[in-house]
Amino acid sequence: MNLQALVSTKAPDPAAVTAFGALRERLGFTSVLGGLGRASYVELSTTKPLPAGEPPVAESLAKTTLLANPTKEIVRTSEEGLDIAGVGILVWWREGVVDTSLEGRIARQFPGWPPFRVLRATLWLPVITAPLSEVRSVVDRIADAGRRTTGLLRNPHSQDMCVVEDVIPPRVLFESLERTPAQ
Amino acid sequence: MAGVTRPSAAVIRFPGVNCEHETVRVLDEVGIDGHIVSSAETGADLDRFDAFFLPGGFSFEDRVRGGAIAAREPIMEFLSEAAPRGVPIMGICNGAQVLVESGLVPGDSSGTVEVALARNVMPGRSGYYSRWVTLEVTDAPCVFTTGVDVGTHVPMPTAHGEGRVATASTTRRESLLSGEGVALRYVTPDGRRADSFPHNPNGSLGGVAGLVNDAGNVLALMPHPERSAWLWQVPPHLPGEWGEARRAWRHRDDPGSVAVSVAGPGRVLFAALARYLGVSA
Repeated sequence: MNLQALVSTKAPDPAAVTAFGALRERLGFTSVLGGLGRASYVELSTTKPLPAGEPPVAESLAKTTLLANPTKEIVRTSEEGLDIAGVGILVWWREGVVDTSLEGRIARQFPGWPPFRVLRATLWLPVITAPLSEVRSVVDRIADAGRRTTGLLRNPHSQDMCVVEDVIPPRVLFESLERTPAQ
Repeated sequence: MAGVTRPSAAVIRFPGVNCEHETVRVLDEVGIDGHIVSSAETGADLDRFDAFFLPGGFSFEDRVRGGAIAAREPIMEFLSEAAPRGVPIMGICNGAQVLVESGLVPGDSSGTVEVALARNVMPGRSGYYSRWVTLEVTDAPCVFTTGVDVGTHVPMPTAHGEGRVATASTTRRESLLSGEGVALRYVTPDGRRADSFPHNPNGSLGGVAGLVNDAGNVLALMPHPERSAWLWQVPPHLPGEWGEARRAWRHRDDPGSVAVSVAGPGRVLFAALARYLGVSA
C-alpha cells in the first residue's frame, strides 16, 4: 500500500516568498521566474495489508494532525499520482529522507497498522516564464546551489532532487532511492 | 588605555541571528572592539574593520537551508573579496553555514560550494541537538588557533540541526579525512577522533567541527566558543580539567565580581585573533 501526500500552507509559504526574492533579487532570475510555491511532499508505504475492516489510510490520517495542521495547512492525498500545475522540483536530504519521527507517531496512533516507511521531500513549484524550450534549463539553474552565485534550492553535497511535470508519480521518492541509495 | 587604538571587528547581524551580543562581549574581553553591523551595510562602511564574525542563530529563519539565503546577500560579496586579502573571518554555527553555502570554506576562491553542513545524523533521533562537546586543535594553519598548542582540548556547547560536514566530492572527502582544512575536530574524552554519536554530535565526516580555508583566515565552526568564553559558562558536571576548574571555582570563597571574569575554554580562539591583530596580552 502506497500513499502520497502534499501539504501546503493556506497563507503564502514564507520560505517560498524568501526563496523567490533571493532568486530574483540576488541571483538574477528576474525575467524567467514569475513565482515560486512550496509544499511538503510525503510518501508512505507498507508491504503488509491493513487489518480487515480498517478504513483507508488516507481517511484515517485525515482525522488526525499527523500529516497537517488543519488550522493553517491543506493536505491532498493520492495513491495514483498527485496532480500539480506545471513543473515541480522535489528536493530531499540525502541522509534525511526517511521521516522516522512521523513513522513513530503513526505507529503510536495506529498500533494495529503494519509498520510504514515514510519518506519526505520539499516540493518547489516555480512559475517559469521562459519559452517552453528553456524551462528545463531554468529549473536546473534555480535548483543548482553548487556556486553561491548560481542557484539556491539544492546543495549537491547533501541533497538530491528530481523534476516532475504535471503529476508526481506514485513512489517517485522510493524509486529514486532505489536508483541512488542514501549513503 | 588612553591613546592606544584597539583593533575592531564587525559582528554581522543577518535577520534572525541571536548570538551577536555574546560575540561582541568576548571580543571586547580580549581587547578587540566588537561592533554589531547590519547585513545591509555596504562595502565602504565595512572597510574600517580588521576582522568579521558571522554569529550563530537562524538567519532568515533557516529558510531553504541553514545559511542558504544569507550566503546570497550582497554583504557576502564584500567578504568574498576580503577573504583573499587575508582578512580574518569566523562563522559560528549559523555563521558557519553561511560561509559554507557561500563557498568561502574550504576555500575555493571562485565561490564553488565544495561541502555542505547537512542535517544531523544521530542514532534513534533527528533534528536539533544540543550538548557540550570537546574539540581538539589541529596543526592546520588558522588565525583563530595560532599560538594554541596542537592537541589542546577546547570544550564548548554545540546546538544545531544542520551541522554535519558532508561532501559529494571524492577528492574533498579524502582531503578532509586526511585533515586538510580541518582546524578543529570533535574528540572523545580520551582524546581520540570522535566518529560517532554522541561525542561527534551530528555524524560529521572525519569528526570535522571547524573548517578553515587554505590561507587560514576564514574559519567555519559549528560549536559555540562564545558560549564557553567564561568559566562560569562551563557546566560543573563536565569531565576533564575544565570541569574540575569549574567545580573548584564554585566552591571557592571568591567575590563574584572577580570570579565572573575568569576565562573559559572557548576564549582561546578569540585571544588568538587578538594576538594576530597585535593586541598585547
